[in-house]
Amino acid sequence: MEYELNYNEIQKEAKKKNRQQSLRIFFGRGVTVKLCSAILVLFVVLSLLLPLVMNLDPNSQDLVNRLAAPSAEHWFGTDYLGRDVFARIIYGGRVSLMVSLLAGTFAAAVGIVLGLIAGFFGGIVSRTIMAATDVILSIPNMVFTMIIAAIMGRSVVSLTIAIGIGMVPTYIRMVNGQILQLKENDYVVASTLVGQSSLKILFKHLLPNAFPSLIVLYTINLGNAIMTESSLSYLGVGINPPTATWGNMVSDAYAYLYLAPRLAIIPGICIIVLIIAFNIVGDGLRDSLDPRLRGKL
Amino acid sequence: MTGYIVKKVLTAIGLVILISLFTFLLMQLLPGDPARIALGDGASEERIQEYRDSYGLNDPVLVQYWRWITNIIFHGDFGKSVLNSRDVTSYIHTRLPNSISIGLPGLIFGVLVGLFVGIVSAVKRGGWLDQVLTVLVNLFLATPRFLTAIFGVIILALNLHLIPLQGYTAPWDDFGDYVSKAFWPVVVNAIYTVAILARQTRSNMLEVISQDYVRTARAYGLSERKIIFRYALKNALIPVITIIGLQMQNIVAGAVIIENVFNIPGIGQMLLNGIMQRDYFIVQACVLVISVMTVFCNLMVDIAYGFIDPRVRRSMR
Amino acid sequence: MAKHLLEVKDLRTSFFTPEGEVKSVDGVSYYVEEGEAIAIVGESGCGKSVTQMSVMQLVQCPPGKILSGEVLFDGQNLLEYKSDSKEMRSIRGSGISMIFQEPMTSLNPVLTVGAQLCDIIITHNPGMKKDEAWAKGVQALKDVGIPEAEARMKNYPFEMSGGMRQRVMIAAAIVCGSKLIIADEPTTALDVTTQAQVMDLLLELVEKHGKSLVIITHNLGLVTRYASRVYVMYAGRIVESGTTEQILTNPQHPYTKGLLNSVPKLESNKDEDLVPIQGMPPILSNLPKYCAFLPRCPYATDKCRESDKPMLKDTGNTHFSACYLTEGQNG
Repeated sequence: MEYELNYNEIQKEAKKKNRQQSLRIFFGRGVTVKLCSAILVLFVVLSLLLPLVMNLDPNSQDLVNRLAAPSAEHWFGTDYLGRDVFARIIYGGRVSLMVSLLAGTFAAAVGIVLGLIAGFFGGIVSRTIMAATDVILSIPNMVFTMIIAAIMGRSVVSLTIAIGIGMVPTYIRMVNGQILQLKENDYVVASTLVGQSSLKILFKHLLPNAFPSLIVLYTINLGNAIMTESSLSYLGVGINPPTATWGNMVSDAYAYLYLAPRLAIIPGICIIVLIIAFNIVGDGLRDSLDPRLRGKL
Repeated sequence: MTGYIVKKVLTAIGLVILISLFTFLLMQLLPGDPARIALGDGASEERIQEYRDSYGLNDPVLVQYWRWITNIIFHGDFGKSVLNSRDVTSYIHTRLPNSISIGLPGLIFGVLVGLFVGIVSAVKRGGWLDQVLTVLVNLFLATPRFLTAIFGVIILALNLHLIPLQGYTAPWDDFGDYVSKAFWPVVVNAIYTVAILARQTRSNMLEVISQDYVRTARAYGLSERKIIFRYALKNALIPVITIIGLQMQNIVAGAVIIENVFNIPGIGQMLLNGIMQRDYFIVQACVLVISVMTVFCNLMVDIAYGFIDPRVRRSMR
Repeated sequence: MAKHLLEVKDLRTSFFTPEGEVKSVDGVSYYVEEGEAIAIVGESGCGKSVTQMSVMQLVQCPPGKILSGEVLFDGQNLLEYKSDSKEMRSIRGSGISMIFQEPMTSLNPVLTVGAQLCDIIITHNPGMKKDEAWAKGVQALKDVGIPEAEARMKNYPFEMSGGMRQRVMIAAAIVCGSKLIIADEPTTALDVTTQAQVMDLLLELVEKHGKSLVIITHNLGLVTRYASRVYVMYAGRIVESGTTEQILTNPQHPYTKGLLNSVPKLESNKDEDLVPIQGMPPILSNLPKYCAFLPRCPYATDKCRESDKPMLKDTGNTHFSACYLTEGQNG
């Protein structure tokens, strides 16, 4: 009887612990991912809709009100030319999000197609594509993107394409690797043996299998694109001023770090938060789509 | 083993040749005519043609490439700056050591701290220290270097006055001055490496700890300490070597940004100025030097793999 | 009666997962005598491996936890020691040794066989010189019938065949004088001829060297030749136990009957069909209050549906069965 009681006690304790543990999983992973997804949605909605609702002008100068502190009129204050920092943050967010989404999608589309071609046709075509991939990956990504951006000229479109091209090799590698790996799998060998066409195998087995990895790579690359865009804009080889981008804003703020550090801190925090959000949503997707990938991407 | 190394070296040489060709062709796409850049907008058409002829710019691209690459290989001559006719080789010669004096300590510091943090996280997995470290690692992975640099300047230089705002002194000129000026650039350069290595080491360690042979070691009474250091660490670090090799790229990317934030006269700053001023020979030379260093690092990693992993070592016999 | 080398009493181990508590081991009791080979038989996931991991206190915590019970080895209750205590560690490898299913992954791929054997030897003989340990390792490899033992010590596991690796595991199991060897599906990953060699080697340890052996398996064929007594496990509980002959010739529990009907017998009529057990193994996180085998049981009665789980009851001559149908058969 005494033992029974003891056992019940342990059971109760175990149940409590179990509840705590699942709560921790819920708050530890679930909520962080949800919060970050919410942040992403918030950024998108604000940057798209706010200019329609509010009267925001990122470029109107007010030289009397230079470096003004935050106020009701200028929520985040003004910069060294008296421009409204809040408006510039919102418009800068538009640029960052657009560049990252377009560059990421461009890279995914081109990379997946090239990867499929390399993986499926083999021979000289495959070797050419993979050699080009090796070459590009041997040049530090940052440097490569800088050069492509310099070739294409300094505009939003050219920077988008430059960042996109810089990310293409990662997709080629991944798709090609997945195909090589999947080709070895018994069920693909089996479908080849029963005489299914390559294209059919491709759509039935390979793409669904590669999909989780691709979607995760895509999400993480969106964060990387924002990092590259802001870094290049900061260095002055990205998007031309006076277009508001977060990188440009930090760059402009450099001379005023002592007088108005918030000019660098506000866009800086926006950049970091957006990248963290993309990374964590990517991690969450990876964990839920394919737990085997944990720690591998 | 020799066969393996020879094969790897040959592959690396092939890659370097492809990179040099690729870089050269890429430069041809850069808008702007070198002759016009060199002579200024006011130059007459005749002067420009004369310049183009004397520098061989009217020759076919592959001929130009051949001249460029053979000059590098046989004479160590990277050509002359388009803008000020400065000898690119000697330019690199003065700049590269400065970059290395920032990048190498950053790499070493980053690798050591990164491994340490990753091991601590894995050993204390689930504990508060692990959770704090994981949050920090994720934060640093998401922070572009220029922001780490600037936030550090705001706090350490402008508010606490612990470090100078910017500038550089070479360690062989004045070591004390070098330390105070290079401290933050080196840390910024290392932080990203620390974060990447810590994350990778932690996840590898955790994966190894869940392996069957670790269970075997436990089932035969080996202590947790011995399991971590003799079993888990070695097996977990083998894949980490690849990541260390890839850090070269990070250090170079870091150099471009850090040298510009802190105004350090290194090869990253030289490259950025070259790109902005369309100074072809400088950009070409910098990209080639940087890429060769990257390929060299990867080659070292491949060879190290051969020595460390018995599975690779034995299969090469 | 020979001495009980290992006696497990009412062992309970659960895993706490987000889906709820999984009662992997739910009140298991068994014993092993000195110089005896027993078998624990059951489908995968029935808790037979977790039972042994609990005996060794190797269950990952969290999510696993040994809730209660006693594990008496040589008279001392192992559950009184902490999992990572010195006492427990000295039992592992020199008191009780385990041999695992996958010889491919159970040995560290980046250390030589010799290095791994020496690690174990030096752990249990602190202060022993390296060359002494090495010699001891060589002797152990010779004992398990590995030719050219000296050279083999310098091999990495991936340079050996599966059977050879399993022999190395057995060498590791005996090298520090363990009295009890727990073999968890020792031959599942091996081909048939190697299976017999490895099992014969294990049996030799029992018969010639007086070791005790616990074979964990889903393969009843192994049981008939090598074990003197059998415990049948289902859903974390022992549902039937007895001598091998009793179990094979006169199975009491419907699950055991099902298991026997689903394996081919040499002497049986060729026209006789094999009858698989209907349904799926139960999900341990959501077990019913009544007998766990009931949903698959062809003989289930209303009494089974209305009652709690049946307890193990003696049906005569120490042949136990946990089933209401067999209860009270012999008064």
